[in-house]
Amino acid sequence: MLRREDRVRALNFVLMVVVTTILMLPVIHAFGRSIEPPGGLGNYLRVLTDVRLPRFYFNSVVVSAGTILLTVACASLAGFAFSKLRFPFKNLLFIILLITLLVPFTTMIIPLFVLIRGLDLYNTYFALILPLAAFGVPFHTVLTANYLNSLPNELIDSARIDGCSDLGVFWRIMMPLSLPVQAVVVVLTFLGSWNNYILPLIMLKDQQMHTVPLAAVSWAYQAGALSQFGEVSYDTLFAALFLLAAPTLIIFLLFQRVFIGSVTSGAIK
Amino acid sequence: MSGPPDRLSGPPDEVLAQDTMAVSRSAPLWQRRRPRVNWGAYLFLLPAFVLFAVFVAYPIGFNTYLSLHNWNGISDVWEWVGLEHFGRLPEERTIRLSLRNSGFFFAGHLVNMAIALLLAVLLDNPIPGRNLARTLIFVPFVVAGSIVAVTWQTIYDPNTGALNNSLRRLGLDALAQTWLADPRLAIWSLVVVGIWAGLGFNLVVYLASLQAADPSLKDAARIDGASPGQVFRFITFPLLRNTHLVLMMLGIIAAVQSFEVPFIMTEGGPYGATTTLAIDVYKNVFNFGEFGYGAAVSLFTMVILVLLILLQRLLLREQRID
Repeated sequence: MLRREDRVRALNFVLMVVVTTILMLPVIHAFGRSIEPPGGLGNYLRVLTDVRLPRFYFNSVVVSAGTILLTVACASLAGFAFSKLRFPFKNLLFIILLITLLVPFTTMIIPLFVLIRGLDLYNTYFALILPLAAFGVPFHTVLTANYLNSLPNELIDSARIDGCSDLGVFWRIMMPLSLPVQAVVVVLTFLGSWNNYILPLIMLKDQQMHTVPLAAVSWAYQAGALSQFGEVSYDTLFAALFLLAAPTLIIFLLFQRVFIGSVTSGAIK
Repeated sequence: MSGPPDRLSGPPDEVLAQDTMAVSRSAPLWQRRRPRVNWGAYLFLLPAFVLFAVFVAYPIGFNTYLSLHNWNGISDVWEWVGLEHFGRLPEERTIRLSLRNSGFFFAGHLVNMAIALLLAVLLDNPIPGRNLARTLIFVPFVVAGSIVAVTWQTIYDPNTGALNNSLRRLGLDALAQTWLADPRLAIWSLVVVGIWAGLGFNLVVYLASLQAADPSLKDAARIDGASPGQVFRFITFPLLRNTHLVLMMLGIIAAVQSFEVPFIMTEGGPYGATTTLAIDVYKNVFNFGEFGYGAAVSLFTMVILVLLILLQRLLLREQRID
């Protein structure tokens, strides 16, 4: 006879396994279909040798890397100024920046499309990088400033006495000490830019330029999966979906703790 | 006790040192005591504010101006119509359906939160493998929404989809449906996808809040003989009030803005049954060439969102008082 405590523990374990399995059914099912005969595991090989795949990855890497670099640079510089420097209209400028947090992306669809077309950036990487960064920078500036507020001002004062300029203080002291918050900015910006669907949808024309989320949809269209009627030939679709999701999954599994920490800190702050 | 202020209670040496550094030695006397104005600080703000001005502030102004006009997106002619577009909004079926659907998505989010909370309480226990479970449940949140949408689209397929196939195999042929083509069912099929994709996020936030909560309250209640149900009802649930509010707010924001899952899976159909404000904006621009009206819808979205966020601020402030 088990003790009551052990029974509760066993029950909890069974409950956890059952619930997790139910939630994973769509993934398990999709994986099952990805290795369906006649192709079997060869389905993956067929997708991997598709000439378009590297290009999709490349496009997404360029867009995400560009957005991350621009966001980190702008947000850390501005966050440092708001947290550690004194200048006129500081509060006013901070509030102006905060207004962005109230703007839904829906409101930006039309004017950004017209602006990007007017700047002759339509169908380029910049059409994605610049709006994504502009939309993310205010939030990340607040995040960075909040974090820097927790660092003592004495660090700056003593560096200044040693003859450090503001830029020197920023680069030599604040950047290394704010690595934890920079990691959060990188992770959230990565998720936001890599997975964004609506911007590439409205800003890109050629399939050559498509990022991963658009590629998944066009692959599905070609397989006939997105119409209720007509012939469907799933073929390599599921293998393609897994391979398109793979980069995010691998990065997530490698940096799980940072990911989960970032997402929760973003929600709670 | 008048007279010059006591040196000992003055600012510490570092601050004095900084002040003297701040003004140059040759500065006139009247400048010595003034705080330094750091004009260089604006250089630090420059990149962020250039991006903000060009890609946020200017577009919002442009959008507002555009909403008062008729424009087909190409011609040089902007026809002034004043507030006409906004007057049209209450009569439009698409707008009413969009708001209703946002309400349904939010209802789905509340269900999502309830499931996430129960799971979080379960995973707060020391169960072997709980970190693996958390990771797996979080995966759908990390994957691109479009990949999630395509996957579920194939599951819902009436002929070859896994859902109907399983029902048929269980002998429940009567329950097999055209999940995305039936105007009454389609929105709920999409709500389920939203729950599945967002559950991991809610779970992780609840779990973090549970682990940050002071365990002594629960222990005290247990020692006083409270049952697990009572501990949850009277201690855990009220302690998480802030988390409930934040998650509800994020749910409202997402519900008002939802785009990619309904756009990819149903394009807002059948007959507008799954349409949303963002889909309406997109269609007005890229299908109908009605830039002015689309801009009005998009501003309407912003107004709704701002009102809801202000409401949340009020709720949070109330909580701080008690």
